[in-house]
Amino acid sequence: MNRHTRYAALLVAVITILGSDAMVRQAQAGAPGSVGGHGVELHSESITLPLGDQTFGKSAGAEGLVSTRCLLCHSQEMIDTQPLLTKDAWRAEIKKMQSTYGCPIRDDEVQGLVDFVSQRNASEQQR
Amino acid sequence: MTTNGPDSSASSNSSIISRRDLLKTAGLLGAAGIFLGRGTTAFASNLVDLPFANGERSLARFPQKSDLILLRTRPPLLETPFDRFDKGVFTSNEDFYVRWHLPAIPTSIDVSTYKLRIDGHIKRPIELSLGDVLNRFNPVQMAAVNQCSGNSRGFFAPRVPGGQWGNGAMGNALWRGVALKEILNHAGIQPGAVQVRFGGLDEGEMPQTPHFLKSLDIEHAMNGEVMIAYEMNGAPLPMLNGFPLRLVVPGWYATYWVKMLSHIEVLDRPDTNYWMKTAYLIPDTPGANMHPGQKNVTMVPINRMVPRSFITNLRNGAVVPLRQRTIVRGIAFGGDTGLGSVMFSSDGGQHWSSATMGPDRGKYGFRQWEFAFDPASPGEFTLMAKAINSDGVAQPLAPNWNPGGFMRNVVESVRVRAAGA
Repeated sequence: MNRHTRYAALLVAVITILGSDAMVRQAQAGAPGSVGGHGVELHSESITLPLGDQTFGKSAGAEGLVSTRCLLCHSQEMIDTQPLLTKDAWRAEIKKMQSTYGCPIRDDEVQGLVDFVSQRNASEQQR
Repeated sequence: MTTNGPDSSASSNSSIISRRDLLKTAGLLGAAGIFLGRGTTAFASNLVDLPFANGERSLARFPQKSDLILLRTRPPLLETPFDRFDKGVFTSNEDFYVRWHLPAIPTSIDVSTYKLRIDGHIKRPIELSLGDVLNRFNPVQMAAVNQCSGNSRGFFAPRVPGGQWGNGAMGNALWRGVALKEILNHAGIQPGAVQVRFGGLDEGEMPQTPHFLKSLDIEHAMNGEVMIAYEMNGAPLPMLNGFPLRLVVPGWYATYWVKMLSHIEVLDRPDTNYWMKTAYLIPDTPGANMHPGQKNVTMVPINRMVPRSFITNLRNGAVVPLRQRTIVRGIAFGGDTGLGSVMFSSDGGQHWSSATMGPDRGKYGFRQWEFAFDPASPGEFTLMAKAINSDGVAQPLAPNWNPGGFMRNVVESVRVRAAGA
């Protein structure tokens, strides 16, 4: 066996070992992007979710403020599907979003938000 | 663990009461004509009117889901239209309601790299691949109702803020997975462990938003019933129901059923994170009931479910044939234990009779029931169903109230009219 054939044989052996290892791994994992066992097979998944990016408006006033603050984390139905709530209840919700959830609401913005969502909430009840 | 095949699902077409009885009274044909009533009806225009103020909703189709009632687009809150519960005891994966707290939800899961991390007060931290979860532990399965803590919140009087659900934030599935106990034993719990905390892949938009974490006492986590599911109803979970792994806590509210489960942490102290200490608290009173404004009420984390029952084939305003048997059909569940019985009333709760029970598909699941209603006089009838669980706990006739809008389980009623044939 000359040096070249020895080298080729080694290469084939390496490929075989690597290949069989990959095949074993493949067999354990099922098809690429899937895992299986005990009669169950799971495949990688990908979905597209609706953006929920409708806004209350983008003016420099209160509606724009609600759009850029409240809608950071949730779509507007969260506000529009609420029952009639008092201003105090809205203030409590907004304060919770500010202090607990970290919504970037400045203290001097709270009253404007309370006024806007209270009014909006009242008008939604009459639809 | 209870083992039920998905093929054991009760068909809505098969009657519990003998078919001969039905045919004798032509009740089957009578029943076929009474589905069109008013109430939580999906109209052709894609609108749904839940029966409380500001209850107008539209239907929306999200990935891997059927047309569901849209409560919020982002993060998704999707309610199961109530007529779907008449189809049988198992709620299909596409009909199953959806509830997420935080907006950054992974939209892509690679099953070959997904990891479940187990750490905290254990012998050594471990990471399990999905292949490990599927292959290294014995599969178990169990039927169990998953119900949002705030299911039916829209019916609270006085109303409370929060997700304004009708009665469709619940579903029953056959869950298949591995017992949490086996995984915790594999990890090796250290002496002094108090609770086990669960986290998923969802996150807030703001760094300050508290991660959604829920905890169970160690004894509960190790009871052999709590499981990590990789299938529901014989198929992988839909992404929006927590693919690829979800905690299943039979008999407990869905807030504990953490979706896209990725982290289990054994704690040597009680969990004080926001979602256990501040959110999801109920008054520590029978039925989680208190008066609005009541002071000095001890609040505790929500926990065990209470019994409920529903009429599924008749709606408010339905007309039923006079002096003919109409099959009234519904579902019921016992809450934190099995269902004992279902009682039926056609006079607003003055008199009760036992309903006929359908097959038992598992202690923690829905069970169908039927009652042959034979109105002897024309006019209005208030139909009611009352579930009594195997511990003897019955649904109350008066609704509960608490500021979170949790644990509603009052006896429901459906008003129908009997008219001459």
